[in-house]
Amino acid sequence: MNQCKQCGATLPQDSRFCLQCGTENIPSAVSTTPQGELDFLKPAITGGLALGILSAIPLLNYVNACCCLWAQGGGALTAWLINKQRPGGLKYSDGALGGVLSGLIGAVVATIINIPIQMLFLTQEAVDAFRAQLQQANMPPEAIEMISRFMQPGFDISRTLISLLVNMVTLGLFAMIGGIIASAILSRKRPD
Amino acid sequence: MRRPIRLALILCTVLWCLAIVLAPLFHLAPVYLFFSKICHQLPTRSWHLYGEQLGLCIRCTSLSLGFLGGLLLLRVPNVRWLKISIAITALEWLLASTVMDSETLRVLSGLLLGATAAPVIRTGVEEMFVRARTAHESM
Repeated sequence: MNQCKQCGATLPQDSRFCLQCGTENIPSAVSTTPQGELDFLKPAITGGLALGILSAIPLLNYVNACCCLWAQGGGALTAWLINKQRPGGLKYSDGALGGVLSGLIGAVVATIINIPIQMLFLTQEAVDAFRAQLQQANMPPEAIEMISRFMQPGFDISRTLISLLVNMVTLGLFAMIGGIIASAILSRKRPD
Repeated sequence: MRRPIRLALILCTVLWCLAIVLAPLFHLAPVYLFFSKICHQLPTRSWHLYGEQLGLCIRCTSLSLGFLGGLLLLRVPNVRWLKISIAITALEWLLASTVMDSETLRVLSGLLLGATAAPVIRTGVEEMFVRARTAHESM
């Protein structure tokens, strides 16, 4: 049983409003969660899996060409899941930390999923079409060559490792940004 | 503790913005490769310098420059303005894909969103590092 923080009346479990005075009360299961005991791992894994899968699937991954939107969404999803443990009491650092974790998890997931995609589904026609599109860009030829090298069928360990590194930086950074922005919007607290 | 983090963040953002502009000047292929992960880099939607496009498209470049401006000029995070600028950017994107695609609107909405997001993100990054340091010291 919970007690109303305003009038002290006994409230049914999980009730949000006092039946006596109408004051809003956050359910005890949430309000008693002590600071520092937030679970970051499960939300980060959920957010990381979501952003990693979406960032790896061909065509869907093009959304990341818009300021890494999947990564920002994954970070925001993580912040939202963490916020459920402490509604409205999320700090910006909670969103940042959750976002970075989900971005790093997502980078590993995206790189792993990309291996079979490049080995099994990437055809030479698709590569040629991509290269032709890339030729229209006003970039130096070496940049076009370098980007094309990452769009080749088959498996190459050095290419995979560089992809993992770049994914960790970009997805980690933008998931952190998404996490902070989501925590700022969800939070009722002012930053420290 | 917060001052060095703030300076490091400004330095990283300056390097980021410099990379966008220096990529066409010095034919920096790795910069184009890195930015290809976060931006479509369509030549028709990018500014050009000496015949080569910048590392990022116009919207992303505006966001980055707005972010740098916000870091340097704005001190206090304002979530209400952040929400308004997100709504304006979404509206601009919707307008651009349906009615009118204006480069000026893209630049203005990008600058506004970047500037309003900067103090919020700076606060989050500062808090995260302060927290990590406190946790490290208490171990």
